[in-house]
Amino acid sequence: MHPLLTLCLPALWIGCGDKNDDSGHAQAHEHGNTDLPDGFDPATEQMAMNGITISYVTDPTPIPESTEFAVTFTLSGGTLIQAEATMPTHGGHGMPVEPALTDNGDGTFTAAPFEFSMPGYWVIHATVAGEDGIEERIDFDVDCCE
Amino acid sequence: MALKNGSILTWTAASKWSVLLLLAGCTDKTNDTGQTASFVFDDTTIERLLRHRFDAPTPPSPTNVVADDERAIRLGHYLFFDTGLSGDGEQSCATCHKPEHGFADSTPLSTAIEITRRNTPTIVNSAHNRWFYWDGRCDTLWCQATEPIEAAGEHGSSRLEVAHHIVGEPDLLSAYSTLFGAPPNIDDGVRFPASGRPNPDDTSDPDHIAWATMTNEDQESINRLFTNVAKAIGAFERTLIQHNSPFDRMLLAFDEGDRTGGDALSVSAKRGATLFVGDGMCWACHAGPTFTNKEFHNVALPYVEDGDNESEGRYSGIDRLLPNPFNGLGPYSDDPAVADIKLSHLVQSPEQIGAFKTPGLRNLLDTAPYMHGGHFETLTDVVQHYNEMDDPPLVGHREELLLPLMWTEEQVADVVAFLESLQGAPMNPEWMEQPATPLRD
Repeated sequence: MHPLLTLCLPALWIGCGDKNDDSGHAQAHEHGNTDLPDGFDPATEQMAMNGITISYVTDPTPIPESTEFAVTFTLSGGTLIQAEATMPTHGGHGMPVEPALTDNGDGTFTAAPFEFSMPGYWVIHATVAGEDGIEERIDFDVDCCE
Repeated sequence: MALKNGSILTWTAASKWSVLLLLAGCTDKTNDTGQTASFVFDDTTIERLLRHRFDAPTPPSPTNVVADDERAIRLGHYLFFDTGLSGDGEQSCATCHKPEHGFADSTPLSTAIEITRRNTPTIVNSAHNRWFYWDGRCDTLWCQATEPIEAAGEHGSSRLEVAHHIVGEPDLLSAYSTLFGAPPNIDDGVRFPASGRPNPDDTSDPDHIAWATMTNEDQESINRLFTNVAKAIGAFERTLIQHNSPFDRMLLAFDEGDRTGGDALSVSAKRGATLFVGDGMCWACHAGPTFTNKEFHNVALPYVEDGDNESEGRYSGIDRLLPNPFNGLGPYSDDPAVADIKLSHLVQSPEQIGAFKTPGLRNLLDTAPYMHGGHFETLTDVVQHYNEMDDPPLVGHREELLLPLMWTEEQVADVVAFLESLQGAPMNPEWMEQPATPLRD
């Protein structure tokens, strides 16, 4: 293959991926689009390093595009201290809104509003503090929107 | 071509071939007029195109309790064309939002009493918008309807003049009273001057001085009447819905399992559709039933004469939105709680500088010229802008997803053909002119 060809193919895509994702999550295509990356994991439940299990559901489900929705997280322990979302393949840009976090008092936490303003690959970031106060960010891959 | 990572590439024959290699889903690229059935879409393209189906009902407008009241629609319909709402008696909403031009304007910059600095956006399908004005400085249709009436270069009127006009015209008074109850008694010319409005930017403005003489209670009653007028206009504007385009007929063919999309679109337009949701990634922003993500982006538009070239766009739009007493959170809103979700969590960030609202793409044949400054006369010019992306933005930073598409002339024409296929069926002709009376039959 002509060496320029390998360069030009990704260049034709509009956009540039953020390849510096420190979450350990699936890496985006070399030059960004909003497509799902290889290794995309749609799981809605994960276990943190300290053993805390965290899962989430959205309201409404499925997630609507360009409309506010809420995310309720269920933790097996610890506290949810932050929730947000970004598009790794869109320069890591976030949402046009900043969700407020509510402790529902029953091990669940609701963050709202969220708004996904583009279709494609999003990541919900949930920062959990364990009983020892150590914080860990858990990332959920999301396909916006059905 | 400068890429984000700093690489400099030379456009060569090799790279031009790479464009062609990226084309997908096309089995017949030679016949633009017939035999469209020979074109077969791939599954991904079909799935993405189906996400633009116009099957959603008109979103509710909870901050406007009369939004779907037929009496309000009729009153708003009448007022939309009513030159009595203007200071010189010659302007109406329809002066710039011309029905014969898709309720947009045919000139680059809106022109009423004066030439403004922005292009008139269409009202058609605007009930599906989240934000209003190119910079999103209003959150509802009725909020939007208040500002032009008092803008010196547009209607050039004031809320007190509007009140006297409503009260002074028997049919308007009757239509208003039926809907909102009796308006305040404004016969006392001292308490309610003939003209007046708050104008904190120019406290020497006679209208501002007149407004300042009024009691808070009287000001509130005029504000209530003024926003009720705007809510009626908003109710009418919500009815302006236009779809049922050739593109929509193609989606129906997909529903029936026809992967060719039937014959509603030419082969060229089908190739354009494939590019739109494929290589072009146009749908990243132009998504959904009205082909907009309803948010704001800096697309690095060129300088336009007399236009709003240095505007901060959405960034400063938020500064105007939040303190506006006529926003959905304000005292004249019928459901501040709903508006709270929308307004109280907004993020204002530097990436919004120079960003303007993503326009919908339906019915574009009616609404040239295009962009917030009327930058481009034709759809080809618009697509060519994204094809080249020659210059950095005049302010702020270009949307990071945007890099030159470097399409061929044929590909540009294909995407234009696709955009033209979004032209909906004509709207109810009754909406195109003023009814004889503001009173519902």
